[in-house]
Amino acid sequence: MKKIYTMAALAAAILTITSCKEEWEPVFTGDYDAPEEQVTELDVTTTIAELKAMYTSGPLKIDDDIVIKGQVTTSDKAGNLYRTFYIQDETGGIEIKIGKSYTNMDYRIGQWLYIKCEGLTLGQYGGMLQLGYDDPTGSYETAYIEVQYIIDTHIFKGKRDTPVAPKVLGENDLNNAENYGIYCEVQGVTYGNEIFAIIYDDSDNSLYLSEGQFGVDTWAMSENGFKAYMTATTGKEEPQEAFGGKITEKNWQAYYNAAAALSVSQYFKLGNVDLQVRSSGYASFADEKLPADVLSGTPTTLRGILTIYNTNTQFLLIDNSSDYVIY
Amino acid sequence: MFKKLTIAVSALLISAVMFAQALYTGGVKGTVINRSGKAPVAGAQLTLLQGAEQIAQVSSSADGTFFIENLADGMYDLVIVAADFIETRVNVTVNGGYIKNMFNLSLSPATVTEDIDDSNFAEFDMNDSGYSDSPVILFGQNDVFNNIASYNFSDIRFKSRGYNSETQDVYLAGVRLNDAITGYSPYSLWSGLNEATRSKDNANGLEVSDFGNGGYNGMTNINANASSVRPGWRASVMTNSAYYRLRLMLTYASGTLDNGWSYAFNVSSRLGGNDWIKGVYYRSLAYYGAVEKKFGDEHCLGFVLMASPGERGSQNGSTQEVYDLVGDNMYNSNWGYFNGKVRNSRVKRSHEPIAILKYDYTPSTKFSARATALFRFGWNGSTALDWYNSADPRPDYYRNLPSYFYMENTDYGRQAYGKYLWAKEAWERDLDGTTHLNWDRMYLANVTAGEDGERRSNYILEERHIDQRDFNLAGSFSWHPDNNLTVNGGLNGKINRTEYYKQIDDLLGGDYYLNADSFAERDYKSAARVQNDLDYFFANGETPVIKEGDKFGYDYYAQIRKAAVWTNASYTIAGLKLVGAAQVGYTSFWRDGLYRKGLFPGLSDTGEEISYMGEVLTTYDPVTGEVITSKGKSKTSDFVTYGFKGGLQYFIKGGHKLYANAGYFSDAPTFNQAFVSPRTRNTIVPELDNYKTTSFDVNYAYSNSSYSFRITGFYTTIEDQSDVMSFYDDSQNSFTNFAMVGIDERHMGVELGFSVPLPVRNLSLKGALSYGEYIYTSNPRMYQTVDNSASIVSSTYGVTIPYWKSSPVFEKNADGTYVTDSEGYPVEKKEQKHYIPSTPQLASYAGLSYNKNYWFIDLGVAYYRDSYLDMNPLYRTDMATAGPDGIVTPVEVEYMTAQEKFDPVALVNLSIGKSWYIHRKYQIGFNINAKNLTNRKAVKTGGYEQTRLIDSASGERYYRFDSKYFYMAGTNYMLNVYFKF
Repeated sequence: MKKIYTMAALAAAILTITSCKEEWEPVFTGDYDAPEEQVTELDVTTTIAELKAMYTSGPLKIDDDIVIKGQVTTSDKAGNLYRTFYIQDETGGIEIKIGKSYTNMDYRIGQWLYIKCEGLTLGQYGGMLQLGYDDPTGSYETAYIEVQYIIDTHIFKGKRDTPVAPKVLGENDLNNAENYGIYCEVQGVTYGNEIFAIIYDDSDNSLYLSEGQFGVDTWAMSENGFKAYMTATTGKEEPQEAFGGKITEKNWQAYYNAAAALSVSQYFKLGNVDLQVRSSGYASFADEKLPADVLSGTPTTLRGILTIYNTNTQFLLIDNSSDYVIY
Repeated sequence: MFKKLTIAVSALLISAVMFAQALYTGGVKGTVINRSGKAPVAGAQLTLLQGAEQIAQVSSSADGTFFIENLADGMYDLVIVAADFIETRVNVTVNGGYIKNMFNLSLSPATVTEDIDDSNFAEFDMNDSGYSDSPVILFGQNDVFNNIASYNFSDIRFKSRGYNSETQDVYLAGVRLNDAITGYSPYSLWSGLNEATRSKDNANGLEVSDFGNGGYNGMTNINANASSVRPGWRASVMTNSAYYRLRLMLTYASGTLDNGWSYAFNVSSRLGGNDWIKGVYYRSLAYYGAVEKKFGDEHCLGFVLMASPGERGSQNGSTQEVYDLVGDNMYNSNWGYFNGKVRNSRVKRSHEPIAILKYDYTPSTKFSARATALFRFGWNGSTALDWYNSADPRPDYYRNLPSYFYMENTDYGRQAYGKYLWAKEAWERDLDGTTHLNWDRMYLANVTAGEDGERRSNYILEERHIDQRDFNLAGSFSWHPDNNLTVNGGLNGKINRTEYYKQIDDLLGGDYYLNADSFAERDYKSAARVQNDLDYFFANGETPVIKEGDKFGYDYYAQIRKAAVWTNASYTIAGLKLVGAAQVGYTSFWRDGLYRKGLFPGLSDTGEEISYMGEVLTTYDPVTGEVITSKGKSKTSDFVTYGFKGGLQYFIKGGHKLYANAGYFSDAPTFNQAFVSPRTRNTIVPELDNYKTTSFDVNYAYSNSSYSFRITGFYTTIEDQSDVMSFYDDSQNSFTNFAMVGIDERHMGVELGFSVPLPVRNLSLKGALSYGEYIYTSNPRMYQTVDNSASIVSSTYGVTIPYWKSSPVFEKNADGTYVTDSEGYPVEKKEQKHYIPSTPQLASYAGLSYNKNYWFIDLGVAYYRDSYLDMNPLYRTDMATAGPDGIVTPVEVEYMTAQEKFDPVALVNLSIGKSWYIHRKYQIGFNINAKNLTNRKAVKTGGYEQTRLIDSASGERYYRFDSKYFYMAGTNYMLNVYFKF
């Protein structure tokens, strides 16, 4: 009898022990403190200006052990930047084509980043230098980095810091390539009453809207905003004129069918220089009107990233809040 | 139990007056029953021995009774042998020339495999995975096929006759307890209470019972009262490698005491993870307590309280690409390391007690009646990640996979081979935790979110609640006026109110969250439209700020009322038994919304349109023109249900039985099939109607001593079923609701089970076969609407799904091009049928069973063939087969509409058990069940097609997203050690 009890006890003990060994271990059991942010610091070999200077023509795949650092200057929170952000150091700014959405979750404005450039590709688009990944299709000089593991092995997060103050640019600074990609402020710009946008119909024919304002007084147009604009003449979903007659009752349907978010460049003037404030139709403020004062010509201060697209000087708003549009 | 028997026997011995008689009037009679089911065992061989001398041998009759007469006073041994049961030996004392009534002689099933919970199979995670079918538990250990199939076929998630598990009726204490919302079998409510729920009454297929008429896929009633629990103490320790590490269980039952009281309890804990799926674990308790009091012979009142509270980590299906990358078909994407521990994002938690009050009235042996009040309450939640303006955190999200960057077929437009290699390496080597959830990243995103003041979480864990209040009343009677006639009948009613809502489980380091609809924010800029709780927004001028424990998202009641009356009767004459049954019932349900949602505010309390900032928010159904509402009561859906059954049984001497059944049923759809998008609105699925089932079976069974055999042919049609689902439709760039109506099925096949003794003593051959054709026989109609606006998707609204029941295979030339007819159309070679998914159409088992001296050894091979993948309806539409260019080609049709068939597989299973009696007072035993001994790891048990489409580079066609699969575990074992005293 005793033997049986001993056997039973032994069996139970063995079972219990073998059970515990493996599986109590990993299971999460309750509240833990939030993990600490890992902060990395790398030895910097190169400034952003030096890196940009390495570019001559065509995509440059970086084979050297180059490390740059810079502070994040943009956020994709408002949706005007998508899968990309800008960093800058004292020497200049550059766009990082990270290829992930909601990057502001991981990279805060003001945060220092260290980028190991080896394996990445430096290229240009419309005159803007970008750091990204090799594009085997050749459509662009750089492609989005996109793969988390490439990001994890090339972009390292440093400490969060006070955001960079905008660099105040005058009329003559706008065509200086050194300033492309940096966070800046242009003071006293006035509304130019002109837009540029391209719309497509359902057969992919394009229609250029330029040299006019066409009653477009929003920063851009979301799909719903575009539809609202297209039906504004009669208030109904029916063929009608739009964009100052560029769209007629005849071809209205073809464009309406292809309704999509529309990026718009709103022209401003700083002295004699045209500054195109280009906003995405996916931005959260796409359908918001420019402030009435701005529309009526009140001189305004804008903050954002100075960019170039071929010969056009452009300006990228990070948001349309009063931090970035001041009047 | 043995103690009692010993006392009884001794008492009889002492009081005995022994004298011999020339002509003996003494005898023994009794009923052989199944210990677990309390069901009679027919054809058991009873051998009466005195010393070594055989005195008599008889077989039990169809109702389990036996009678041995002409016995001298004295002590005898009675040995009972029956197929699938342990050989049992009892002492019998005949004295005074009386007929000794042994009453119930219970046999223990010889299957040593009963100890894993049924619920392990039923609990399989199907929510939110698109997975809509639950596996089937076969009833009854008193049937040779079910005995074999329920154990051996469970891993492949075999569905009996191809039917969904909802078709099995599960009763508790006489109350049908299939889930009021989904119809699912409710085993998870008492998982871990194996001892308390062991006593069951079962009916197979179309059979009827004294607790209800049932449907066409069997029924079981778990007695659960105190006196039905096996008396005495029982303790067990179990470990297994496929579900949880450890189960401890303790049970005690008093049996019926002299004062009429009985009481019983059963407690258990199930703890730990397993060898196969990381992140899946149990931390569960279970408790059961019952008291019962007999008042005289006529009245009996019992009370039971039971529940199985706890939590359990869930599994998730992934694509084959993912499984191949990590080299493990049991990969689970639901978890990640957090502070060095495995943390699962999908945890099911619940505490749903059941309270039962039962009254039994037994005025005579000819009449009995019973009534039960049963209340199910408590809560049931399952956690999931939710995120706002943040990247999808799931590791196996398609944009994180190598195939997103490169596909050999250039038409996918994915040619970034370099990135592909990076992603592939990261996955294969699990670099930087690529294959798991990254909790740290989510926490940091939340913690660093608000540089100034409070931090709004971007990632949270939500807990989706389905909290039921289910009140049931059931009453029934059995009338048995003579040996030929039995009449049963009863009525039952159910009131169910289930609250569906989400609450914040964990803000993951942030301080608050907002109760806004992030899906609506994609389409609407209006601050009012994106509100989940518009009334709060209007009253307070802001979106509700919510913290842990607060409700958000959606909140509504499902209200269900059911009532039914049923009766059945059987009449036996000259070996022929006639059975008839009829039932009529009423079901009604409605949705009652507690939130006024910004997307569908309906009318104000005073009946006016609701607007905000000059914009009218109230919207109207584009088809009916009715206002679309989210708050308040929906229309009530009412259904009259009915069912009829008839059966004929013919008993032939020697244990043969021939029988046939037929049934017709008209059943109400369930609540979860009835609303287009219950999260957001009151809209009811169009054409909602009863579904109709016609079923027949023909059977032959033979049961005598150690032989047991059954063969059944069945034929069933199910018509007019409906289903709803919601998914992201790439062709619409929107989250959409998809209702299907008019789904018809046909199930036909044969079922065979046998157990035959072999010439070697104690060795028998066992086998089971289920071979059928379970197919779809209609092309249902679809109703697709956009979730955010309720606008209809014109090409897929009220249109037939052309390739649901079958897909065409076209004639091809030798060079692979398609043969065309004179008008240039492709020539159809054949019509490939589409099958009911996730169950083998052929399941079989053959094995040897050795059974001697309380040793049981079972070794066998199971073979499965013709399992199919669950189909998504979108891929069977003209839209998907035409592609973006609108031109249908045979390549597209064949590619898009075909149903995937799984590979056949053979598996080896072994069970060994042994128990010892000590002083006839204690029993100690163990069983080991080892499954899949050849360690087959590529056995798909199910899965689903994703509903997403990939635009081709050519713009001419769509490609499918890869399907997701669930696999069976490799070699796994269960070891149970128990002690009874």
